[in-house]
Amino acid sequence: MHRVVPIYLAINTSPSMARRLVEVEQMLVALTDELLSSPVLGDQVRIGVVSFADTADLVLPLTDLTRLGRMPRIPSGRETRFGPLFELLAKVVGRDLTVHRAMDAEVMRPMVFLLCDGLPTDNGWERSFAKFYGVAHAGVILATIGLDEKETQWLGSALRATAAFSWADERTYSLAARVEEVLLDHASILVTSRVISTPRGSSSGSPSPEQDA
Amino acid sequence: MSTGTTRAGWPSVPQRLKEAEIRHAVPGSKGGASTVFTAFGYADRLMYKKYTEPRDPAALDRLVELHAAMDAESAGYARDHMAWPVATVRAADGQVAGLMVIRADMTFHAHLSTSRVRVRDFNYLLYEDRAARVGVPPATVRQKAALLRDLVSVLLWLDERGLVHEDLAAHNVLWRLEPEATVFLLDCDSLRPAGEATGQPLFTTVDWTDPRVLGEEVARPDRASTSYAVGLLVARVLGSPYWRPASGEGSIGPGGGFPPALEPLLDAAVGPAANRPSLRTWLDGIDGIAGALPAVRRVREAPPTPPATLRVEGQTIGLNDRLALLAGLVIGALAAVLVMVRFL
Repeated sequence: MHRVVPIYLAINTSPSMARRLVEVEQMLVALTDELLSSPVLGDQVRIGVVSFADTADLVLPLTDLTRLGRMPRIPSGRETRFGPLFELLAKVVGRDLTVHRAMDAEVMRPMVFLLCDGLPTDNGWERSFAKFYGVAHAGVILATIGLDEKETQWLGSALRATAAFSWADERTYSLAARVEEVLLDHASILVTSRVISTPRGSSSGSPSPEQDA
Repeated sequence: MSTGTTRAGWPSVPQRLKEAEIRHAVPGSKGGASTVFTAFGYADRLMYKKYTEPRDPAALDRLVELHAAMDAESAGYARDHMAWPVATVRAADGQVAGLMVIRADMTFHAHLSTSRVRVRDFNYLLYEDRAARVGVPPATVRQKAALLRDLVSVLLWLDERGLVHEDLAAHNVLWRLEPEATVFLLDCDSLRPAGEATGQPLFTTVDWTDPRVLGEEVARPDRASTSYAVGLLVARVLGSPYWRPASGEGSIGPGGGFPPALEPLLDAAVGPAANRPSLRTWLDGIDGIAGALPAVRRVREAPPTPPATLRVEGQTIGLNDRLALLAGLVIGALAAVLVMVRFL
């Protein structure tokens, strides 16, 4: 049975994010190279891209990036609204799950990587999120640019995020590299060993110091 | 701290090193609980495996001592086939920070067309159509059998020394075909005496782990778990990378041209532990089919892709579309000029 690991990038395209969109497109190219270089990740990871501002658009449906002829261009929008995003994601993720399961694939829990640089301006977006969460049962990883820790934590909590990152709004780091690292860290469970059990009485938490140091 | 080399070009390394003494850079592969670094000053034969989670120093020291006590022939075999730990590395507080392990030489690496250099693990053998797209040529069925034979030989060598590899998985087995089909085992800090009770955390890969371990029927992978993992590797390499044992009664074979002569062994390997074939039986089984296997590559069927009804919404016009539009405009303009010339 073929396994599918669905990852959706939800990219805020409000005007303040406009200069970052090129970096997001660069990240998609770098991610494609990585998926090409790792046959098992390439075989199983599928990427979808949703842009959101005052409206939300499916820029790239869930896709095997390594077979994509050209990268999507991400259009910029106006204000940051979460309601349209989660309305769209509920439809898209729900449909993708149905399609892939009908094709007898083992579909792993979907993950939404949400990148934004502002708090949502619309009221009642939580209802859309609850609907999305009920349909998709997706995990959310949140990355904010320029928000402080407290705002990021609040937003992460409201989104039931499994991880939340608060990145500074400066050019001293590569946004593409950071996003790629987070995504690959999520997907790498397919190709790396993990602790699957820690027997009771384990001493692993406090290894004994060297006796003859 | 390196202290020169031995006669075989092997760096002589103390069994314990301080982390501050290691010149390392260029992080390589990152695992669930460790990162591997290039280490300078060890004739390119060693790497530094730095842990992100604490490990049992006694178990690691024991592996290091085993290597140090090997005769020349055994040490040579271990170095050719396994990333064996040769020294423990201590942090300033005296705790184990990592290990110096034997590095797989460049014949186990692949220079990909994506300009990346990666260790050539069994995933490049399993997903061979994808591997071929980045410049890793597929192996023939006969070559795959030879690689599996070498893998079972390495596991048998460990078994004869009472050791079990607790994390046998595709990403932990490297391969090369030249000068001969050879494998190289990674994550050898997962080597443990068979049957030993330990309180250490178990690092493993769920897709490749004996269900008896996942179901806590047994505490640690044992000899029967090794036979199970070999069964999975044989089925996925010679059959289909998507194959999994049936959870209920009866089994469905891996298909994909899997040799029928190995099906009884595979059925036994994924069945009750008491009936699982020994490594010697696996070796005989693979030897039994090797001569009959074709020296050809077998193209595997790709998994189905979603229907084209999932259209891109909001897609911008791409280069090809722009060129087509431009060509249309040029042809249209030329036609207009011709018409005008004809009637003027």
